[in-house]
Amino acid sequence: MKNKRPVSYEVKRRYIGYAFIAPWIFGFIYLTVLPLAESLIYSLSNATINAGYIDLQFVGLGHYEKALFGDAKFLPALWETLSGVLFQTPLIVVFSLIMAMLLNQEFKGRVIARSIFFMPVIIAGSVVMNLITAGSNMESMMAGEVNNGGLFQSDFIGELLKNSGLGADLINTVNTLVNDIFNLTWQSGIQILIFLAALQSVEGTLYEVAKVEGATAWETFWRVTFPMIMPMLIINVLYTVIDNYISVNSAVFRYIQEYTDRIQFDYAAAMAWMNFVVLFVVIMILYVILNRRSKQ
Amino acid sequence: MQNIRKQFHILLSDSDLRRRHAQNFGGWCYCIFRFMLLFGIGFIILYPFLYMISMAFRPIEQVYDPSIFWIPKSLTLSNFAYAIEKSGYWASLGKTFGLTLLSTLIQCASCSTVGYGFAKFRFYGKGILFALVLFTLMIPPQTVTIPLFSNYSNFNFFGIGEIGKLFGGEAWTVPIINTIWPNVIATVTCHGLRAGLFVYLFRSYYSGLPAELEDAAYIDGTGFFGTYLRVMLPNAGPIILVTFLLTFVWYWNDYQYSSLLLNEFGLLSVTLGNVDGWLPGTPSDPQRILGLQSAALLLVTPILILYVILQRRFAESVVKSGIVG
Repeated sequence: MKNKRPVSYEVKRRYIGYAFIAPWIFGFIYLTVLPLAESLIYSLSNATINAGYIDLQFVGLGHYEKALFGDAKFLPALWETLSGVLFQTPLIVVFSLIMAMLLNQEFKGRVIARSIFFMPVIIAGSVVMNLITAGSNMESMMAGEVNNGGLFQSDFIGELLKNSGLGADLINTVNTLVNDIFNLTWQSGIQILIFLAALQSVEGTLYEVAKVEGATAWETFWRVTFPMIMPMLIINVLYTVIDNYISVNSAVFRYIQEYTDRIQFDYAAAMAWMNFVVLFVVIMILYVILNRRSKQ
Repeated sequence: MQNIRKQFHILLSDSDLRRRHAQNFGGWCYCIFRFMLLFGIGFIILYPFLYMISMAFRPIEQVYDPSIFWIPKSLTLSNFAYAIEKSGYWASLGKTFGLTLLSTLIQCASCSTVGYGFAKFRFYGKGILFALVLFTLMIPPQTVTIPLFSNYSNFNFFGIGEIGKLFGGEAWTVPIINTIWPNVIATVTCHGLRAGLFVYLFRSYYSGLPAELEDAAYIDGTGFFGTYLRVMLPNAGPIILVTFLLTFVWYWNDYQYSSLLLNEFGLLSVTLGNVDGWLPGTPSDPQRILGLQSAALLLVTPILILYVILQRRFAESVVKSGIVG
């Protein structure tokens, strides 16, 4: 008798739920799990390409050993990427928060300002930027060096400081920061977007209460705005780290790409895996720290 | 009017008035500061575009002319003709547009469906599965592209082709690199470019819609898929717009996947991005500099047009879409 009872609404919904996410589950197995497993096998083998098929011979951890101890370039490239990302992330997050707060205010031309500030979202890090920078003086500009001549007169500030008689070290620091602003603005598009949406979602009544209670703007920011956008702050930090870390222009990626181009898939896979593990560990540490902070 | 103001002033003490003036002055200063800051940073963002436009229309003899500041003395279209001829632009443009549009539409549909599944249904393992969705965002593409390349070089229909071995022969395989299929497979299975991000967005959006809508539709006799298609999907306009624009742009610009899986398909980003493949000359050769800048302009113009058309609604949508959940 029990078997003949019609399936309840709840149970039915459960199966339908699986039906809705079925494409993703299939893709996850075919496009993520299997390739990851295959690349793990490559990294543990000697791979030779034979008429489109890859022949594998198991060699154990040889490639990992080679990358860690026998390769003079891999670890420095990894460190360059990691330290660069960890240095840039706080700057990008703070910068994009400030920009989002400015763009959230009422002023004339806000629509235009917003659409300009979202532009890096659609272009940053793409072929277009590479084309523009290749063969122009912007390569040096993006690397944070002061260039002479050209269209962007960024050495003006340097000249000004030099004439004012400040120390050379100080001038260099200021110059690096000034030139770094190009990088900063071009990498904060999505972050500004996320913060802006977060700021819009804070209820107006909270600000009214703060105003009635006589809180200053400074207090309002730290007691109302900041706690309300904390979840988005965490997402932004993690997004920034991931996005910069796995970008095409990172030192590690370019180094691995060299080996992929030479069809040394086994060694490239070993390096890519170590790269992945480092990123995973960094993200987990950041997530745990930030989550604990936000709960306090 | 004058009278009223006088009366009003009586109510305010001198110190109040002074503070009010100070506030006005401070607010005014702040407005100027904000304008300078936004203008300056806006300029930095626009700078590459201005440089590109300034160069792309410039005749060759004016490339190194130090007396030219931004605006060339005369304009020419010959750089575009050069870049179009060298790169085979028109042939690539149609293919790129078609494939990008196809990938984008499928990605919108699949991410929306999966996001809806995660938002509105309860089933075992949902938390873990959703964590895995976000986890896919974290995988460096180079870890999976190489195995994908070898799988797609001898595509065995998700393992079905192995049946061929039962009949004593080889496995049935077809090479599908340099066709539209790698993109179609990735987007249909909700694993297109940064699909995890869009699943996340759709899930937060659908979670925010009231469950009563769904229940009402169900009681009225609409099936689960009918409810999704006819009741929930029409409400997801803002988030679909965000997904459409970002996916289109990211596929249009993509080099990482396309250069490996679709290298010979003739996508614009791959053709133009591989500079040495179509542009002769050394990096300081003026002809090459002009070719690069006009190629950049040719590549970016279609998505800039799309962005200009959609930007106002895009900015609104981002705010409305409840990215915040």
